Amino acid sequence: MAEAEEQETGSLEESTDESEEEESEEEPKLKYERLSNGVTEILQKDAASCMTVHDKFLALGTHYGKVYLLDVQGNITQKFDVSPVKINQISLDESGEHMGVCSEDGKVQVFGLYSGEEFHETFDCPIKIIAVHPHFVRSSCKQFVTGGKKLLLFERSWMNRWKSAVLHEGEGNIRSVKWRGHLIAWANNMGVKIFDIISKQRITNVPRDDISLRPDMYPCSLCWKDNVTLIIGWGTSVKVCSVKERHASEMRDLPSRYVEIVSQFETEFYISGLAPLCDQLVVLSYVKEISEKTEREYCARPRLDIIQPLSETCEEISSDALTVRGFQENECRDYHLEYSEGESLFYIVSPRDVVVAKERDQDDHIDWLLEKKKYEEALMAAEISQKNIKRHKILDIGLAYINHLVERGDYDIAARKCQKILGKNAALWEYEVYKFKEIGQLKAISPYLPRGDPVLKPLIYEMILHEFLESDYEGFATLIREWPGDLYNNSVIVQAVRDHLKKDSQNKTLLKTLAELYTYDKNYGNALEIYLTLRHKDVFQLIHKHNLFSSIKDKIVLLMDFDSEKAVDMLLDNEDKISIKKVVEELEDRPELQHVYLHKLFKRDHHKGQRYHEKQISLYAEYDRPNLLPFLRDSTHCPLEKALEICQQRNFVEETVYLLSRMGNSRSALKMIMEELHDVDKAIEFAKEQDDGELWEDLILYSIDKPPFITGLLNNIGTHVDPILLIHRIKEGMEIPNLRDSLVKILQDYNLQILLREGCKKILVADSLSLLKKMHRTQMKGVLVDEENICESCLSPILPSDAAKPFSVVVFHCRHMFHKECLPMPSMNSAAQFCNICSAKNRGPGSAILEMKK
Amino acid sequence: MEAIWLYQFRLIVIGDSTVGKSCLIRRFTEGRFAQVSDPTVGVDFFSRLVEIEPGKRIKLQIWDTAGQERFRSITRAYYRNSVGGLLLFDITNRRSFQNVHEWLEETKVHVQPYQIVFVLVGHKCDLDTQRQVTRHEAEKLAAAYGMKYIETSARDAINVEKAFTDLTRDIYELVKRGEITIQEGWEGVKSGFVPNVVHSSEEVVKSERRCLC
Repeated sequence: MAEAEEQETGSLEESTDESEEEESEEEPKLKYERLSNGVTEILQKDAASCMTVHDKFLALGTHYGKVYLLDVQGNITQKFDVSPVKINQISLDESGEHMGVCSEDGKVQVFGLYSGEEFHETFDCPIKIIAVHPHFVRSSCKQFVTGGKKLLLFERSWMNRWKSAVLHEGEGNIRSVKWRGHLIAWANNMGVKIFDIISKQRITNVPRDDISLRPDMYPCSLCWKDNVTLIIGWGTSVKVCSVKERHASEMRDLPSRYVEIVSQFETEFYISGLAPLCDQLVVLSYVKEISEKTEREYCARPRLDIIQPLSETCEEISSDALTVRGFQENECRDYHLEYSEGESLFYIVSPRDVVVAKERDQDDHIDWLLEKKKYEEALMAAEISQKNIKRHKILDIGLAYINHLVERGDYDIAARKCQKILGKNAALWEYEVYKFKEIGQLKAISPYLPRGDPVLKPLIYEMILHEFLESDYEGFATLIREWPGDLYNNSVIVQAVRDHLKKDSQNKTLLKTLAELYTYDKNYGNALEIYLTLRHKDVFQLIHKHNLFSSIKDKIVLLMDFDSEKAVDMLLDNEDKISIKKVVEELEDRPELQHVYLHKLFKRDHHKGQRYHEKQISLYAEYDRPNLLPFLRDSTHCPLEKALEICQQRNFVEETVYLLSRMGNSRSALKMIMEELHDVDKAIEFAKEQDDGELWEDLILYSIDKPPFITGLLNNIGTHVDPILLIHRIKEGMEIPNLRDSLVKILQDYNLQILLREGCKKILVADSLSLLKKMHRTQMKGVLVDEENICESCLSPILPSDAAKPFSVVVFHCRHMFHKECLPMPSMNSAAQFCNICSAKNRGPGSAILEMKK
Repeated sequence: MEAIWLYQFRLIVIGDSTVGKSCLIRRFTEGRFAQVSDPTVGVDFFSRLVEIEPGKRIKLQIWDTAGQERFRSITRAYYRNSVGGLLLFDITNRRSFQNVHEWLEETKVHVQPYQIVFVLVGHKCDLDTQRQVTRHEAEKLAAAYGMKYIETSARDAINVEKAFTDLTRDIYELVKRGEITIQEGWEGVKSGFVPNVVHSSEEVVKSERRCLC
């Protein structure tokens, strides 16, 4: 006994075989808990002999003949002193208000827990079993069965007296009974029988398999899975029996129900108890093992298995060996498995111990996962069943997970998990950050740190920044770029960066980061300076973004030096903020930049910078000759004299020519072309443009002593000036290159022109002829004169109402009609008369008179 | 209905395992002898009426205990509620005779404050050839404890009736003389005058009330 008590502190449950333990990482299905409190107290002096479970309470019977009502925690709520000796069975009805008790000394009591005793008798043999009607609370169901040597059914008659009837006897002691609905199942030495209380008929007999086992040592376990399914466990055999209705055609004089064994299989160990668990079975097994040392049989720990019954075999789902107190002393019959149907609670009753097996809930599942260090799964499980878990908190699991990862050295994963697990809890974040600091892994956590909602103490961020500053400028820069500037104390970091710059003043990364810090601090001046020294492209963006135009006024030169294109674009885009005047002034010392600026300005708008156009002439001349001429052409504001002066000074012929011609001095211009450029084509071109006879004259005059010019002229002027003029002037004996070719060309041109003219003439004549013919045809057409027509002069109908009356009508080719009388008398000198209307309009295609006479 | 009896005596049969306790009781209550039987586990009981005088019947409730009881302390309840006992030993097994003292000592401890009238029974007297305990020795021991001694055989039905009826008679005398009294909460002796089959409803209410307090 002492040995048994020692084990009290030990773990209750251990997985079965060691080999199994190693190979399977499977989670147990059940968890175990010792029923304590009152039960512990009771079992110190007494021993449990039987127990019955109701939804709300437990009834425990002992070897000393007591029945205790217990709550589910094992606290005693009531005690009944039933007998001096062992209580064999307690039966409760479904309401839990009536209890039947039987004991070894033959006592049977059936009474209401609240309504008083109803039946009390002592028999001459031990009464092993009792079962009250499940609905005993109803007055029509005041029935119970007891069993010793015989199975007796007690019924209360209408006179309130108990009548008994023997249901069965003669096959040894009745040792198990279970009443469900209207079926009573019991077991005696020979087998299991089922009695139908309604038809009062025994409907089956399931014989015992292994009759070598002592029925008192290895009693039969019965349990009803539902109203028609009985599970029998006896020795090592399990049978699942189904009660079925007999078909009417097969009825004859047989009972209306019969039993079919739907599943039958053997178990490894002796069965001490059975309970259903959904479609599976919970089996309490009694295990005997042979000691290796003494080679003697001894009682091992009982097992609680969950098995899946198949038709002829079973599948083990889980198997746990239970260290119940004093298991070494127990026999198969000392164990009982009781269960609460609603809650999946299983009570393993043994003389010295009552253990509750529960289905593992989510909390237990998480426990197990944590134990197996499956944190990720635990976390997931906790999240999924957030509402159902009571003991665990997601956060705690998460923290444990982080710790675990950190211990394993997976700093990055740990840090990443922080994000999810710590969420918005700033305090926890800070705690974790310190932890990471301790292990020197601040960097790992840095990318995951919250950057707003929540915001941690600036100190935390500064700590991390310092850490990076010491070892990783790039990382530092990245953080500065990524973190909102208000997370940390800017000046502290600026100071730190400066300190580092003292050591490494040219470090671009640091400088850039410092510039960013300055920018954040709105210290744009400093920021700009750094950017400019770094020649960083961000500078324009910076200016733009922060509207720093006021602070760049004095830095225009620097900007231009850095990137004149962009600088000019920016300046021009923000002309309203930095005036043109200001820019020009600033760039006074750097005319080349000034030019770039003004050039662009001019390109954008020919008029904006008009006051600088004069200045620009010299700038163009100096720095950008190719653009001078376009400028001069496009600008309407530049003083031509000044320009001419500059161009002449610099001997810019083309520009000068342009200016001269623009100033109306075409002759000088032409002269310049010829004298300075010696370009006859250009001169001809110029002359063509001006289309001035005098100019041609000048050109010819000028060219006359220059044979190449003459060639050029001969070749080109044909269409503008009569070449004869030129040819006449060619001096005798002058040698002109390619004269023959030029003359041939002129003559050919001439021929061509004559041909052209002749062709035109032919076409014209043909056209005239066809038109004349057409006119003839038209004039030959008749003209209808009827009542509709009116005299255009008097506007009365042209035909007289009296047809007999003689009349004269004049119809012109233009279809206008007149009474002859209405027309003026034809004058003497012109024989022809004309239509008044058409001649008035001074239009008259064929206004010859067409006279009609009747 | 139960046969009418004057008193009910509860007797207990103790002794080492395999001395033949169950066989003796069976022979007495059922009149038969089982050649082979499983060892008794726990406690079993049987009853039989004995007519000690014409018309005076005593109901005997005889408790058979297991010689090897795992929860020996629990059998205390059985000793306590017995008025008489047969203390068996096997005359062919000296050890079982030597253990008689132990059994008596244990009984004494558990039976307080009541007492049990014992008779020492030397069993299996049919196996005289294998005898290891002489009648003389046994009688001497019985005298020392103030008990009667009787030798019985369940197989040959020797002295079985006598052993039980003698003990019953002795107890009856003590009861008649008032040396043993019927007491509430003790089941050793019960009077048959008050039928205890069904309690009246009044009594039920009363006892229930007391229980709830």
